Amino acid sequence: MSSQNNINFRQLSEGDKRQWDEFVEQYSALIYSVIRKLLLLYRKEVQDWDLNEIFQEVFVRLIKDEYRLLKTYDPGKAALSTWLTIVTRSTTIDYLRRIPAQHQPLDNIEVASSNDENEVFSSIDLPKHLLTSRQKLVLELLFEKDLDVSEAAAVLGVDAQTIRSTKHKALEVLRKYFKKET
Amino acid sequence: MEESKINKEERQLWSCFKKTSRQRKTVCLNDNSLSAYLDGRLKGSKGKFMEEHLASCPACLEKLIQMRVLLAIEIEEAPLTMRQKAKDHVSGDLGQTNQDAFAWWKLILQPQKSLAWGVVLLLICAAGIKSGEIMTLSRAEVFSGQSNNLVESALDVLGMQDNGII
Repeated sequence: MSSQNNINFRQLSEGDKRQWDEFVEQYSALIYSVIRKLLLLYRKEVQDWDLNEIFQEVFVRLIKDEYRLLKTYDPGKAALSTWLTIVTRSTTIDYLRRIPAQHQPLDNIEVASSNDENEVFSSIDLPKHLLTSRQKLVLELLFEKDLDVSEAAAVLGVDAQTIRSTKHKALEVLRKYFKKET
Repeated sequence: MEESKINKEERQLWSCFKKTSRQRKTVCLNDNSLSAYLDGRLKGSKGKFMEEHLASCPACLEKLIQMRVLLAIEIEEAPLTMRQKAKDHVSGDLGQTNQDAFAWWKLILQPQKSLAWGVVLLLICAAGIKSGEIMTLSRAEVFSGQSNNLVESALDVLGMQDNGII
């Protein structure tokens, strides 16, 4: 059964008005709050006009072209709230890139594209399997993103001790490897 | 805690690691996969594949970090007017979206309705061209299925039958 919190997802994506109203009621708070947070993050202030525009745009994006985007959601994979947060983030970032804030040149907006394809390059390509993907990811978070152990743990959904031991093992591997090379 | 801090030697190791790597193009994962990873439902090889990608894709890693922040924010209710406007994006009559720019195609693809509306438009145009008279047709007439009679009426008004065009 593809339903979440009394929402029948099949009926919703087939255009059932009652399900749509229920969906709006249940998830508008989440969408609204995510947009607010992102506006504060990127614009340092929340303009009601922007907030309303993005809010409506999220819902429109979901139902556009016969509910095309909404139909891509797979209830078996993740919670609807998680998926909607990603959609809201993408919509907000697209909006911020498209409509720059008043008195702020577009170049000054440091917003990562929500279309991440093609422009991304790996920075890590040492001998294959030198480090596991988890080890590389942990080091990337700690060294490149400058997160502390607890923050990295929260990002990966693991406990802090896992991060510490992963980091320790990864650095041991690197020590041995570079010692051998020199 | 001592192990939480990054010392100079560790940073040098990382620096060597980065220097010896070469750039490689990677393919980003879709929102469903990222959602599944965030919800802890991406296990086994799929989870490994996701972490492999995250370790090599700054944009996706940034997205992941920001998503963790967004999923933990305090939720506040949206104003009623905004909610109502969002609800209005789907109409109550047909359960169809009000955003479908090509919704009129559906009407055309429904033979009975399209014929009836076509006749109505034809009659209005014909009336205007011929004499400027305003034709009044009840909705019952239009939708009664008497489309043949209506077509004849329209042709008559246009004078096509009288002139021997048809």
